Amino acid sequence: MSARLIQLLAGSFLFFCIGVTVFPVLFPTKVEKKVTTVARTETVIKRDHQVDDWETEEADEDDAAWQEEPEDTTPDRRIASQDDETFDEEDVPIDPKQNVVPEARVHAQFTSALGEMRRFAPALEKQEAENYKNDEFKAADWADPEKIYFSLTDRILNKLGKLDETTIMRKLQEPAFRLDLARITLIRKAGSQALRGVCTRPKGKEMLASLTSDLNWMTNLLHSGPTKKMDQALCYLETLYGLVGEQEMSNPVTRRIATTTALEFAREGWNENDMTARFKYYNDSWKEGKLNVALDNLQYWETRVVTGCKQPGDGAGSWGGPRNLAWHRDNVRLPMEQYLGAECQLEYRLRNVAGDSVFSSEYLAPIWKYVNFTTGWAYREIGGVCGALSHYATYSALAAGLPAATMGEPGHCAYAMRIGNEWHRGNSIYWQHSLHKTFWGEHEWGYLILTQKLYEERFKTLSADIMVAMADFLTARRKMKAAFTCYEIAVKTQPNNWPALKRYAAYLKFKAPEDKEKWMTLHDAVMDGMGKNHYHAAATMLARYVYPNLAPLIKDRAKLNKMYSGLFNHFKDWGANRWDIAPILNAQISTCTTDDDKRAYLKESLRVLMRRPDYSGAVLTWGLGYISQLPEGDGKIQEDFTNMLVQAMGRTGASKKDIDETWATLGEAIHAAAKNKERRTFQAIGKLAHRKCKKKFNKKGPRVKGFSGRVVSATAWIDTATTIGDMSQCCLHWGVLQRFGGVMPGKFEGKAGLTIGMEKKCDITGVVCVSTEEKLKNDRPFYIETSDDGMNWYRAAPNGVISGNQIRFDLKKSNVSGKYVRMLREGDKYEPGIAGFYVYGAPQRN
Amino acid sequence: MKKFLINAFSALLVALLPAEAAIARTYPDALAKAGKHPIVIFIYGANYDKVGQKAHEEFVKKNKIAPYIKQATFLEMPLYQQPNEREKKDMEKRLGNKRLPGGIWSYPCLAIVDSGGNLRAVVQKPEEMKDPEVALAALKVHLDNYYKQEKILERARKAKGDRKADHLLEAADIDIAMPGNVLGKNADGDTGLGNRVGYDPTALVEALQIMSFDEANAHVRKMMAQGGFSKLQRQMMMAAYAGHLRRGGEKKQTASKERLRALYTEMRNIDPKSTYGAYAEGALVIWVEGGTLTEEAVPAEINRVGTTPDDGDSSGRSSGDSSGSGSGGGSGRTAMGDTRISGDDAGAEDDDFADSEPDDEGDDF
Repeated sequence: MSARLIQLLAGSFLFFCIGVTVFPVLFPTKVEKKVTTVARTETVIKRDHQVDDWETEEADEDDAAWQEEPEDTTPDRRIASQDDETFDEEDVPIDPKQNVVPEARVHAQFTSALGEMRRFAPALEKQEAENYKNDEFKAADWADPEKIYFSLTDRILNKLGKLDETTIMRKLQEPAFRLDLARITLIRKAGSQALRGVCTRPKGKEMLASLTSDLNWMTNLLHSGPTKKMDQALCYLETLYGLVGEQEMSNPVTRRIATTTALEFAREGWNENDMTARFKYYNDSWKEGKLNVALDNLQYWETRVVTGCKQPGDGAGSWGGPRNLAWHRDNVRLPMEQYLGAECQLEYRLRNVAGDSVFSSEYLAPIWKYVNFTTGWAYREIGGVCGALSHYATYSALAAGLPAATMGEPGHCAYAMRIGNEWHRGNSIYWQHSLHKTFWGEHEWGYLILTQKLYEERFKTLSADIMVAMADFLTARRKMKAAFTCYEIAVKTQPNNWPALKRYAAYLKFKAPEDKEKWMTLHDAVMDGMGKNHYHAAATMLARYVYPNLAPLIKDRAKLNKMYSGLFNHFKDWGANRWDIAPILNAQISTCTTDDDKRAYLKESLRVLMRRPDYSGAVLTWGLGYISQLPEGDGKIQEDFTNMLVQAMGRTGASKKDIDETWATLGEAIHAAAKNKERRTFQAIGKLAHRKCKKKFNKKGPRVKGFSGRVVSATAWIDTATTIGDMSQCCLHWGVLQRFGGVMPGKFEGKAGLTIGMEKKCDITGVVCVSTEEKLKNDRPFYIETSDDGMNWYRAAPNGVISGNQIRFDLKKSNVSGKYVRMLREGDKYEPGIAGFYVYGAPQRN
Repeated sequence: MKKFLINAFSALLVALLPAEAAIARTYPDALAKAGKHPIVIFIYGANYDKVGQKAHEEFVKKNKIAPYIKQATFLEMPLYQQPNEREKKDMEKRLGNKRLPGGIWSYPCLAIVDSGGNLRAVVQKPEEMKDPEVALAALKVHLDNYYKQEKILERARKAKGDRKADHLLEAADIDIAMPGNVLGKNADGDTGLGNRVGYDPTALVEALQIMSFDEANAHVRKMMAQGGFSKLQRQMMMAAYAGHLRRGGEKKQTASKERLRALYTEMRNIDPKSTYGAYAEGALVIWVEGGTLTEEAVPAEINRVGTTPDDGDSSGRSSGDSSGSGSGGGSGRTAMGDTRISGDDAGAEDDDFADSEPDDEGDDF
């Protein structure tokens, strides 16, 4: 029995052992899965207890993938698409000699390199005329872009040897070398996967072979402005290549139109049908000799402004569709100079003759068929306001093949038009221009001028752009030392190269964020280069990309403040156009960590900027705006800031020589105070202006028959709904509240009118408004609204009685009170000037 | 050398223009020579526009323009874009101390200018200028109109008071611009001429805004009855009036579709081929029929004629005047093509006073 028992036990043990041995072999996955799952996360295990079948399912999926796909030990050969914002380093061994940040160099240490670059530019010009071609890579080769990429990287690095700057610059002068670099740049910008995609298109390989064998074409594709979404641009180019064929595409003008259209439509994210239609419009028009001959000689970047004009869709309401462009081309044919002002062909009408508002869909609705759904034609028949007028002039020029762009201004639409090499403003009434077509996403006027100047020096800029492409390549191959050298030479060669400077600053932040000397060198390079003429761009470059990195490295606050104020000391005036200094001052003050730092900063900034007539009004405006945004706290810093600003204003000159500048400075400041609803500041500036510039005010005011009580509005702030372009006369707004009167533009439309904010809530007995117009329109009533908080308004009865130039509101029996009072009018927009505004009554005690 | 030969050849051809046509070399010269006859100026882009250069070749070098000029003075005026020194001198020489009149929208063109430098008409549409035959036919119409208008203006110069005003209005109705401010100078108060000169479409829109429909009707009909307004002005009045009814507003319902149909039909029939004739037709489609405008032909049904028994008369005839031009052009052939349906169009032309269909939306009429 015991022997049998022993046999049974032995047999069972043997069976168990066999089982233990064989089971994992027969069911390997399940066992491994368990182990893996348990080993991976505790959470999974916990969940396993909670939900029976959850773990198994999840683990199955995970582990099946993990186990069934053998690990790919070959390196990923794909070349990722590289944008202008990031740096993609490849998985290559690091050369210790190259893994260092070279020391910062002063300008003199670039002499030799810059001399070489100066010779490079004319060489590029000469070689462009020779048009280097090399068809080493055939259509079939482009099916494997990685192979091309890696063979070219090896070739380039071999040719560059030790990667010293002399060799780099010498090699870049060879067209064959540059073509190799361009091919690499193209693959990196598009990404190899996307290139494979292009190759699957009908003419993809053929187009790529043709494009990459032609140095001029490649150069213009890569270096005529931004290259965002290059993969899409190549697909579009393939479409156009297929459309016209190789022979027509070899025509330089057709090629330029096609390339720029593809680049711009890809960058803007517009669809292929519209892209093809736009290309056909320009290419066919050019072939038929219908465009202005100036198009024949445009550079690629200029052509991009034309072929990339906005609103590409066709049909009613679109300006950039082929139908509308063709209409402008044929019906508004003018010499270049006359497009500036072509908006005069349209009548200015806020309402059409049927009374429909220009902002309603009814405005043009019945006319669309008559004008064949052509936008420009419709507005020429019916008229329009600033938007239609500016678009009309702009698209007339664009349709002829001339660079132009619409631009926004506060509550207004204007346009920019190029005549020769100069940009002009059209239909413009304010200094704040926001261009609707930009290269770098910077909309202000200064950048348009910067772009123009940059590309006017075409080959100098091109030499710098090629150097940046070289630097980008070296960055990808982890040759940091050589990459730094190339970026630095590039920005020294063309100091106005906004994208190159931006790229270098980004690389510096990436590789040497705490290298104070390098940041200082970049700061000085911007000041000495771009800062010579392009003040706004230079200040923005510093505020956005340099100060945030450099400021924490400078421990001496006084030195930093000097550097900040030195920026404005460096500028002669506003430059190409007035610009908003607030973002720059905000960037500077944002590096102050304590209230004392802020006080010191403001003191230094006011010291410098108040001496500069151009900037003094703007800095006061900024200061007042800054105070109004500060958190309440104990109010100490607000008070200190206010005192400093008022003192600074007090120091403005009152001599004959200075009076106009002081008047303008205070005007700008009082305008800001009114917009910020800063009653005390508004009054302080008004009184100061009256003291310093008494002659600017009236001696005698309008004759007004008042109401009972006293004039409670004399110490208020007053604001008009009109957008003020020239703020130099704004101190007269304060005069409007005083006995001697003043002048301010009025605008009454809906809830837009004239508003005052008084010192205290008052019981109001009446209001008198005096206009600068001799006889006010009386077909619609004016009325008064009051409010305690400036938010909730209540209409007071009765309406005003209009008599000549005065409106009188008798509110004695109306039991009206409020801290805020506004005068409004029913009906359409009416803009009479205001000479006096007087609220009568008594302040409430509480 | 080639340029010289071309210029010489061109000069020779221009010299071969018929004897009665005066050729001027400069603009001041043309103004001096013109007298009672018009000046025809061929203006073209000489250094920037291939279309202009081609037109120059056709019109001037091939001398196709010559038979049309007749007694007019002819001047050739090249325009230069960003002119070089030679081109600047050429422009200065041709213009002297004068400036070309404003109001030309596109080149190449044939501008008809009087001896006072007033632009009277322009042939500038691309469909005209691309074909000399078409352009010159248009030129001929303008020149005929010029002489016709000048003849009436001559009568006006000799007349006084109401007769003078009548002549001026008659001249202004001819499809060519009047010289200078001849209307304005002679407009006086509430006469027909004063009405035409002083008409302000925006002011009418604003005035109607606060009126009830009855008041608006009375106001517009009274204006029209005063007479003197051009067809275009009458169409604008109708647009303002119909727009007011269409929008309705505070305490006012919008007018019924039948009412709008009547008004827009009336507006269109004043001059179907004009911009506002087309506007009225579009209004009929979208605001009366509730349709949308497409590139397809306008459906014929929209031409059904509504009527306005108590609306009055938009014919432009002064009260009691039966000899005025009337609501001309009501042929049904409109700016958007022929949209008539037989049987209805007679009403569209003449029967503005037929009974209306019942108005069940209860508007103010």
